[in-house]
Amino acid sequence: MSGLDYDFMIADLPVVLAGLPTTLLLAVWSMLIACLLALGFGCVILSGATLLRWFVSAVNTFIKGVPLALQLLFCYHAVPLAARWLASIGLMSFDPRHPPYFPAAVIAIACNFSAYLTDVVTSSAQAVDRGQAEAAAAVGMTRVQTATRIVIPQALAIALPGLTNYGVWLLKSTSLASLINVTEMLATAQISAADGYQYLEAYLDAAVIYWATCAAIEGASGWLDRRLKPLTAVA
Amino acid sequence: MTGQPQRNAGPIHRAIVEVHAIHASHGGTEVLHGIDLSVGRGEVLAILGPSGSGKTTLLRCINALERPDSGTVRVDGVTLDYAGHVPGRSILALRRKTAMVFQSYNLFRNRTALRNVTEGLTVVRGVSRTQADRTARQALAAVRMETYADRYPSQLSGGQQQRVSIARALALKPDVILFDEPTSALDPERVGDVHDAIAAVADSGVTMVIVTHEVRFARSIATRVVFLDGGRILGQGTPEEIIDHPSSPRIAGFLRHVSPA
Repeated sequence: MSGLDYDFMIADLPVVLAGLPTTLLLAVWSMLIACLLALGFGCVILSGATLLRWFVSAVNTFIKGVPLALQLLFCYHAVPLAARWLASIGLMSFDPRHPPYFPAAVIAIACNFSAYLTDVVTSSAQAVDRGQAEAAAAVGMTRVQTATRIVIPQALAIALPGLTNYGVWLLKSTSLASLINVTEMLATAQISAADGYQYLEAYLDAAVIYWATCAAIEGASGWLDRRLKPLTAVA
Repeated sequence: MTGQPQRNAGPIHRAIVEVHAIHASHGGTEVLHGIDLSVGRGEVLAILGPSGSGKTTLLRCINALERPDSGTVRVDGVTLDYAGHVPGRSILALRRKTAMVFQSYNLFRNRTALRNVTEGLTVVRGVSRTQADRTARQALAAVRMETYADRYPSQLSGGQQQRVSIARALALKPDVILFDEPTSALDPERVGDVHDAIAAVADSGVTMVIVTHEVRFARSIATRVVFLDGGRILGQGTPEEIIDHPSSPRIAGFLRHVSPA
């Protein structure tokens, strides 16, 4: 064999691309749940509740200290167990021939990234000038009005670059879900390569698609960031 | 004197702000040692004093941005008594009677100049958007900022931001506007515009309490001056009495220092 099979590489591109929707679905669900978890964790850490804050910090350092691959494998075995138990008390249906691997991957990835996103939430909220909340209080706004109308919008603008970085990292990390039988894009590429043992070509296809997707996300985020400049720029 | 009793520096009969026996501390150090102060409707009260004398703390106690350890604050019938629990509802009610202009402007960064002014009107006062827009444009015109209505704070200079923040306070038509060193963060060339804007507001008859370092400005605008030192009121009276003919050597010394004749 002398070099790459370019014809296969081109022919295989749409085959690998067919795995992208699963990858995106996995990424969007994981990111959404990770953000919600991080928002909850962030509120606890920013609040005064000492014991809860200690607990959340401890959980977060544990999550950050354990490899995502291990967390995925753990959920791969734990989630079917939990699903069987939930089915036994009638809360959901469970078909042993189709264990819920996709939800297992979402749970593992979401928990993993929630720990990192918690730092984004707390640092962005703290980066909003204290004077903003004081000015809102001085015109008579309630705490909820101050948070939803003034502090959170500004914190979101500040958080955007950090959220984008973790979002892109998360998208690429979904490839690890191929370890636990989720046929996302990397698994799709592997399967397509198996017949002719044309792994290099299939991996290059997948690499190009991952890169293009991440570049598009970063481009969109950069455009939004420039539009939000008046909110984050220091006069 | 009989012509405009509300501009009187004598005994106040129609106090709009009453502060009684306020003690306040920062991190265990008491910075206000029992302050009594009344502000009559229409008065322009300047609070002078050296840094660390408690001027800003006193001002921030009036709208409960700082909670004193004890004492009472009353603004137009709403009383906060710090002897007991002060309900959040009372604090909101009191803040709706006041407005504040901050040293560092604190304009809402995610709102244009116009929306900075309308925010309190629509969200807090329940004024309709059209009515709020009209009021806000009038207020911006009063500080000569109407042409900047659609700019974000980051697109305005410090002096322009401070004038918008004065418009934001003015538009709420509060019983009293509190100014916390409104020009000390500005370039010297910008100070004049902001002083003019404050003077225009003062001429409209709004009650104002101004914490400032600018003695000459206080002399020109105030109807009464309070001199604070070490968390106590050292003297108060008309600008003539306090600034031109200070009876206390401490006040005379301070004035010589900040504005050498």
